[in-house]
Order: sequence, then structure tokens, then C-alpha cells
Amino acid sequence: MQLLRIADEKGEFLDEHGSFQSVELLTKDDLLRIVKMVYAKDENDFDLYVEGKIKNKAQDIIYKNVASKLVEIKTNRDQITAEVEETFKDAFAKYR
Amino acid sequence: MKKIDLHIHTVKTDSDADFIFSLDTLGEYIKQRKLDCVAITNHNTFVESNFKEISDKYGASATILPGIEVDLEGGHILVISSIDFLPDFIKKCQLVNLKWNASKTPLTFSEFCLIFDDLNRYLFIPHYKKDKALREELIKLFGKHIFSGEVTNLKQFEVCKKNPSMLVPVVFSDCRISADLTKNLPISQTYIDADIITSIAQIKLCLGDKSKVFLDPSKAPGSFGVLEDGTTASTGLTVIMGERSSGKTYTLNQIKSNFPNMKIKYIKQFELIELGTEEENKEKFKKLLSGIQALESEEYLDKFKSTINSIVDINVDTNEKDLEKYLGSVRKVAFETEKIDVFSKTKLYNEVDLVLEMHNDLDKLITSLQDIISPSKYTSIIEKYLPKEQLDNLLKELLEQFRLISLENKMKTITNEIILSTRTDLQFKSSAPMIERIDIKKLIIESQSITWFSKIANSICQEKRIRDDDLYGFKIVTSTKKFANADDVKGVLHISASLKDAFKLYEEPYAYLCALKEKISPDMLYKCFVKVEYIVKNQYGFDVSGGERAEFNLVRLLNDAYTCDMVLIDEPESSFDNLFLASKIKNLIKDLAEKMPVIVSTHNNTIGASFFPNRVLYTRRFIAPGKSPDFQIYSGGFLDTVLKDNKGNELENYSVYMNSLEGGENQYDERKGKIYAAVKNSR
Repeated sequence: MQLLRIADEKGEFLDEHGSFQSVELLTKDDLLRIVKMVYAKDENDFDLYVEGKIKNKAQDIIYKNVASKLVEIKTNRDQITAEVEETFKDAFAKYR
Repeated sequence: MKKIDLHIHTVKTDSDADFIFSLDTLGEYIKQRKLDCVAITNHNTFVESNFKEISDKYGASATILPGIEVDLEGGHILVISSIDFLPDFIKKCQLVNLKWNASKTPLTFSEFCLIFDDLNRYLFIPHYKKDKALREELIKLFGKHIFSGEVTNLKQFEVCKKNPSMLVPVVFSDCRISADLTKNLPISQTYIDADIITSIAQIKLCLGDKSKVFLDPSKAPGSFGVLEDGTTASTGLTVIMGERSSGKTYTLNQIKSNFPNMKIKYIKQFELIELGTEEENKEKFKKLLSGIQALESEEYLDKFKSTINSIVDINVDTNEKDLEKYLGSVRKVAFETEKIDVFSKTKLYNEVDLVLEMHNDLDKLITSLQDIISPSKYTSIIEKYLPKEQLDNLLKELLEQFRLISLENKMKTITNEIILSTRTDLQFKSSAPMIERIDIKKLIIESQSITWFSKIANSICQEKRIRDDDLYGFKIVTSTKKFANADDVKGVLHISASLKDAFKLYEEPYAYLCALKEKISPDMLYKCFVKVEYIVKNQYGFDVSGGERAEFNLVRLLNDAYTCDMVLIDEPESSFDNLFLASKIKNLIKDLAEKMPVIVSTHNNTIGASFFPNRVLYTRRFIAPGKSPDFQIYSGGFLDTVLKDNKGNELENYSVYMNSLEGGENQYDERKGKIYAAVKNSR
């Protein structure tokens, strides 16, 4: 599923109703939902940020910050899982 | 009967104080103490060359066993191997050493079992009634492989022997073999009822049977060697008698130095006597009481101290400024609408952080449940009511709940990071005001903490009696008192800084605390709110006199001695009258002697006879022709007819009592038959 895209020189995100909206309207709750979806499934994807492709300066800043962090999540999915289970890692290993 | 010491250090490790191993001293130790078997047990290490050097030199004189002292889950355990398995044992010790050097943390039980996989091969002796004791539940986990434990207190040796549920006790020197040791070779060893020792199998047989371990080669119950010549004392009460300059103090000093690893309370002769003027003595007593008072104060204010620590770093000024800045920025955003631009119009521009969910209670619940599930001596009882399968399922479900909350918090943390970096970049481009980010939750918690602190401080500052104690006739009142002025506070803190301005706020705890923070270090703050008074009165409720001060000192020292392994008292009659000794000290000493060896030197008949000691030693000075003075020691039971020295020479016990305690039989007869009878009949 495409969560962020660059279309017609605009940065957009998929809202909770399945429509694409400008990233200027992105709230913290939208962001949390997107972060969770990227962590949950590799198929949940997004357009990578490319400098100069978004004309609106505010959209450009938002898209750049969000997309770069989403790349980190995809790359470090196992590390995030390990951090989450760190406190009781022995118990998780035993009772998984 | 064989004499063994299976706890000897010959290599300095990071768990030891500095010492340099002396091979000669070890030889001297084996020879002088007539040891039949020793084990080399260094901390978490086994050095093959060191062991070989010792075996080559002394293997013919005594059985030398390879061993190691392992740090195991906070306790210590000796692992001793048969010489037959030496190559394999060396490999296992290397694994222990690798683990120790890598982490400097004790092995876990499972790590220990992985290394020493065949537990049947070794002799295991944990620290039992001793510092760094292995936990009871851990001993249970070893099952049949642990049957014997090391103790320090010789009374505990007897207690363990009598109590069927306790391990077979052993006493070892736990000494570092250095050249210095030659002056005071240890005398803490155990005798085992074996004919020969060629392997650990024979030792195992003896250490598995309480009737085969002894502190004394004569097998006498309740006695142990205290002097190099083999003289024994009771694990209960022993009295040393003898004329002046006959070596009583010398003997006590020897006994003290023979047990360097024991916690010994030694009350020396005249120690408690007041030698100064009345004023000086009163001042000295006052100092003593203020020391006790300081300890009482620490105990009483312990929780208050943590309360202060939890709020001392709160900065109310900063919090107020943050709140003001936040409200100001909200106002600014509302009023400066003309500055709104493409950047500030975005939703993330003024977005606040997502709040994380606390889960400390869930963490505690999971930890407790893990404790319940993990194997212990109570497992069978637990499983009777809570089947293991259900406990496992509960743990699984709680872990899943933990994982969900923890994951949600992680996702929120990542989201907050994106919000922060985006806001920062947008703000950099925009001229519109932005709402300040503050941690409102933190501000509320800190504000509540200050309110609670004020309530607790007001309650602490009330004047009240904490405790009324009766210590063998002395009345002790511990109470709290409000400080009267700034100098009163300074008296408790022993500081020179002026607290006058701060003290003006004494009735407003938080303001007072803030003012004090400017003047004194944070670790002293808790002492500034109330003082703890410790007052000692005699049995009639009056201030104590000079004699009573000394009596109180003795009572207090003896009362504190309950945590020791042995008590030595040198001629208490030098400082006290017979009535006090008979009425108060007798019971205290008898009670102490129920728990540890107590050795009292005396030539006083109240102590020597009326205390009914378990054993008596009689010291006598003699000068052989052409030689310097030497001391002879005779010993025996309290009601024995004769006392004997280590060469078998005998003395009539009755004469000893008469001469030591009564000034000779004639004097005794005269006092009893003539003087006391005459006084009695003259009524």
C-alpha cells in the first residue's frame, strides 16, 4: 500500500479514509498511523524524497523529514523489535 | 582424627586485599598446625603453576587438593576437585575465570551447572553462616551435592551440628598465605573423624555426617581450640582466672589475634572507667550519646531523606517560567495572525508530542510472576494451588500486553522525533510565532510532589516520643524536638555557615528547603527539619551518675555485641561493683554465651563462680631457672576436680578457685566463718 507519494510536484499522504491529502494537513495522529503501518509490513511503501521534486517549500520540508524517518524504520525493523522486548528478552525468548 | 583447612588463598586476585604469597609460610602453617589436608581455593581462578609448586614441596606432608572459590549469584562457594580429575578441573576453572574477567559479575546457577556439568565429581562447600553466604534456595537447588557449609561463629558450629535441618558445619581459615601470617598462624580448622585422607571421597563421607566433624581433637562437644598449644575454650562461657600478672590479658590478646577473620568485641580492662574530671566525663558521655542520637536520627529520617531527594532538584522558578512562556506563545499565535505563512499554516507547525503510556506496574507484575514460576524450595506448594501451565499462560499474556504497550510507546517516540525535526525546520523558514513545547505532565507531577513534601515535613516537625526502651534498668527515651533557632540546626550539622535567614522560613517547609539549598549541601537537608533526642535515665528516672555512666557503656557494648562472632572481656570487676555484675551483667553475659563464645578474665568470685561458666582456664606465670618468665595454662570444666595443662600436669580446681577468687582458703574461711558470721549475729 502506498502511504506517501509525490504527485504533480506535491507531497501527499494517505489519510485514514483512503484518500490522498497534502502533507500540510498531516497531524500527529496521521503520522503515528503511518509510522505503525511502515513498521508492520514491508509492502506498505512510499515514494522516496527527491530534492527539487516538490515545489511548495513547506510540503518539501515535511515530506523530507517524514520520508527519511520512514526509511530508517524499514531498515531497522529488527532492531526496533529487539528494543521493544529488551526488558524481558529472556522471557520473550522462552515463551514466544 | 584428621585436621583439614579447605579454604586457603595463595594467589592475589581482584577480590583480595594486597598480599604476596609465601611458599615458606604455607609450609610453616601446615607444620605448626599439624594439618593433614589443605585445599587451594583462590577467587574465581586456579593457577596451575602455583598449585604444582605447592604440591611438589608439601605433597608429602599433607594432602593438597585443587579448588576454587566461585562467586555464585551473590554468594561464595568452594569447589574442590580430586587430584585425579586435575586436567579437566583446570579447564573448568579457566571457563570460570574467563566469565569473571569478561563481566566481573557472579555466575548464575545455570552457568555454574554448565561449567561443572558432572556435580558428582566435586566437593561443594558454600559460605553458610558467614559473609557472602549462598542463598538457601540456591543451596536447595544443588540438592544432594551440598551437605556441608562454612561457618565463622563457633557457636553456630554447635547450633548447626544440633539442628537436623542445617548443613554439616565446617570452620576454615579463609586466610591469605603471606609472610606476615607467620606471626599469627590461623587456628580455625576442622577435625574430621577419618583415618586417612587420600581423596575427596573420604572427606565427603565425613562432611556428610555431623557426628564426624569437630572443633576439638578430643571430640568434646561445645569446645574449640583457642591457643596454639591446643588449649580449648567453650563455645559458651569461659572464665580465665589467675593472679595479677599471670597472663590473663596476654591470653585474651592471643585469642583475639588467633581469629583474624572473626568479628570480635573486645572490652579491655579499665576501658570503661572514667579518668577525667566530672565535667570532662559528662562531656565525654554527652559525645557518646550524641553519636547514638545521630544513628537514631538517621534511622528515623531515612524515608524523609528520600522524599527530599526526590524533590530537591525541582526548579519551581524554571517551571513557572516555562508555563509563562507556553501561555505567552499561545497568546502570540492567537494575536499575530498577519504573520501566518505557508510554513506556519501546516498542521505539524504547532503539533504537541504524543504522550507515552507508563507501565511500571506491569513490569513489576511480570517480574513477580517470573519469581513465582522460577524453581525454588516453595515450587511444590505454589503448584498445589496454581498449576504451572496456568501460570505460564498468564505470563505469556502479560508479556504480550507488555510488548503491545512497549511497541506503541516506541512508535510514539519515533513519531515525536519526526514532529520535532519537522517543526524545527518549518520554524527556521517561518516568521510566525510557534507554540512553545513544554512537558505539562512533568509540571503537574512536580507541583504535586512539592505539596506532598510540605505535608510530610509538617508532620515530621511535630514533637513526639518515638520510643521508650528499657536497657537492663536504664530508661531510654527517644523523641523528636523542633529546632529552637538557627544555631540549634547548625549544632546538628556541625557547620559554620549562617542559617539565620533560612530559619526565618522554618514554618514554611518548601520555602525553608529552598533557602537551605543555597547554604548547605543537598545530603544534609533532611537533618534540618527536626532533631532526634536520645536521653538516658537511671531506673528511678534521674540523670545517670558517674558510675552509672560506665555501667550504661558496658551494657550498651554488650548489647551491641549480638552481631559479633565472639566476645572477650578483660577483668570487668576493675570498673564495676559486684552487685551490678551479679544483677545486670550476669544475665546479659549468659544470654550472649548462648549465641557465641564469651571469654571473661577475672579474679572476682562473682564472675568466676556465680556466673557458672562452661569452662575455666587458669593462667600461671613461672620462671624456669636461667630462663625468662613464661605462662602456663590449665583448663577444665567448671566443676571438674582438677584442671590440666597441655602436658598433662594437674592442679586441684578447688585450690585454684580459693587462690584466684577468694584470696586463699584461710582468708575465705576467716571472712565466712568469723567476720560475716559475727556481723550477722550482732543484729
